Amino acid sequence: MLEFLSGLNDKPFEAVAIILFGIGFTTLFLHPNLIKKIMGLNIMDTAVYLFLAAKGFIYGRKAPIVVDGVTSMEAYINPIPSGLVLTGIVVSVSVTAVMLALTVRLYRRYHTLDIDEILKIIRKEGN
Amino acid sequence: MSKIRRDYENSLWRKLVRFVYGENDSFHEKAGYDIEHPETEKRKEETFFEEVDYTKKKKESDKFFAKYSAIAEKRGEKVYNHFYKFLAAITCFSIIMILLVTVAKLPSFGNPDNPVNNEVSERYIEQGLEETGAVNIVAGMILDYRAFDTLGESHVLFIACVCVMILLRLDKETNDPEKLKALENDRDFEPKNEAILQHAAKILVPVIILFGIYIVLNGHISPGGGFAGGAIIGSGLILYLNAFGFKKTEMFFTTKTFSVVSVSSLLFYSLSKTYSFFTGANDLHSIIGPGTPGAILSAGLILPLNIAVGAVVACTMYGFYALFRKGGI
Amino acid sequence: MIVREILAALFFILGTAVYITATIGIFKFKYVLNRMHVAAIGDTLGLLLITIGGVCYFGLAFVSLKIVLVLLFLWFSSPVASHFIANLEYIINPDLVSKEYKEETIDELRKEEE
Repeated sequence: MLEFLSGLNDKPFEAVAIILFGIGFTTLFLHPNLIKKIMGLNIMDTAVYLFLAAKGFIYGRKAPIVVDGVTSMEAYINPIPSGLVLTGIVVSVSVTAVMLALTVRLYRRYHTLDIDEILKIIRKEGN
Repeated sequence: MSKIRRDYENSLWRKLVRFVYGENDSFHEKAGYDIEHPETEKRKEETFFEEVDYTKKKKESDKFFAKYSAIAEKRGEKVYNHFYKFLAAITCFSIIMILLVTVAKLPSFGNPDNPVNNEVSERYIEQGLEETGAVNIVAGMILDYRAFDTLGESHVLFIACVCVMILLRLDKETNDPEKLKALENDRDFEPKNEAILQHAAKILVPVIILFGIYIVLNGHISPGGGFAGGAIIGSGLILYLNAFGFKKTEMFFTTKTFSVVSVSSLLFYSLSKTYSFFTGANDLHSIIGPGTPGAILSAGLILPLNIAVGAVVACTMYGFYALFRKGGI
Repeated sequence: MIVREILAALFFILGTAVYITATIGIFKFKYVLNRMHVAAIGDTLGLLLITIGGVCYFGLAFVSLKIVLVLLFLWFSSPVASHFIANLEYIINPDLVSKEYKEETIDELRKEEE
């Protein structure tokens, strides 16, 4: 237990990212409202960005933009997680847009955003 | 092909399969179902029983099922509402705890000796300025070393916009009254000739778009780049659209503009990267050198690629908004 | 140097306090227009204080100019946004009364009638 707590104390940003991830995951899987499901997925995305950015950080170093031609490893933080976060943001925007469009279509068809209600209507129509 | 098919149909395995599925009794092929035996007809006549009013019975059973299924659904909903918060809290807590145990054993935060900081990032930092000419190492990384990745990203954005277009586009030549109403009143709950918004937009839109262009053009020497600048330009266009309506924006931005700009920038991206891959793979001398680091016209292909990516992102942002708002760009 | 930093810290603390007050107000008030009012005022004043703190901290440099530009941008855009929240509320609910208040008054009127 003590080991666990000290391990977390070492990595506050990762711990916060994981908590955000759990909140988003729970919202995504258990909330009946479609818009809130999408919000949960976006919270998960944000948690992943925070985690990646925290992995790339190094104490006492600057952002990877070369100042005065200094190109040594000791001057800058790790640039790779920043690039990965960029990819993640773009994919998240696209996925969110497509999901919202699908939600709009579902709302036009069934006039509700509740996934349980939609499933009920589908079951009735099927019979 | 036909011979193989015939062989397969005649094979022992196929016969066995058909026998198992009851399609045909393959071991009595000659006496198949085609021949109607007189005995079966007789049996049919014998088993013919008197008519029963099925509709009445079905109605009764339907009523019965509806009653009990309604009770079950209600109870299920009650239980669900009762336990939803509890269940959600438990799920959330267990997921968080499982992942936190893993996080507690990860290497510590901000330590230069972490396994993340390996020779790959060392190479990018130490050789990046020399090889790509970009002061911004991240820009040099994503548009030079990993340009394929960024090409995929911009294609993802474009394809997402096309998907939204497929899902939400409204045809103009339609007779559906709902669609016509949606086309006419696209601003039921939105600003209509608001003086305050128009005055704010008159001042802000040029500044926002100028700032976006600045960020796109300085992508290789300062923080920013195509994605950030494109998003800013797109938001400026959206503000302009909100203030002055579709009639003004359609003067310079239509579906044709969207497709021409985004497709030509994607094509330009692909072609220029094809050139640099070709010269790089064959050890040829490329015309576009890295230039002097820090100048605007430097860093080889990074500046034009940033512009292409920015154009795609701006078009996509504006396209998303227009599609969600009116069902057409 | 020290005076400047102390001044900056003071302004930062003041600005954060304004923001915290505004946030409490957003949760405390019941009606949309009240909440919008609190959020808009908290935004404007808190931003001003934090910007002054930032300018005090950095002194007369290029960064300070950027901070002032951010302040100007937000002063332009945030009142317009609040204006539209109020406008939407007016379109949806032209009486400009909260639901609970409406129900209460209707109940009282009924009692008086009886």
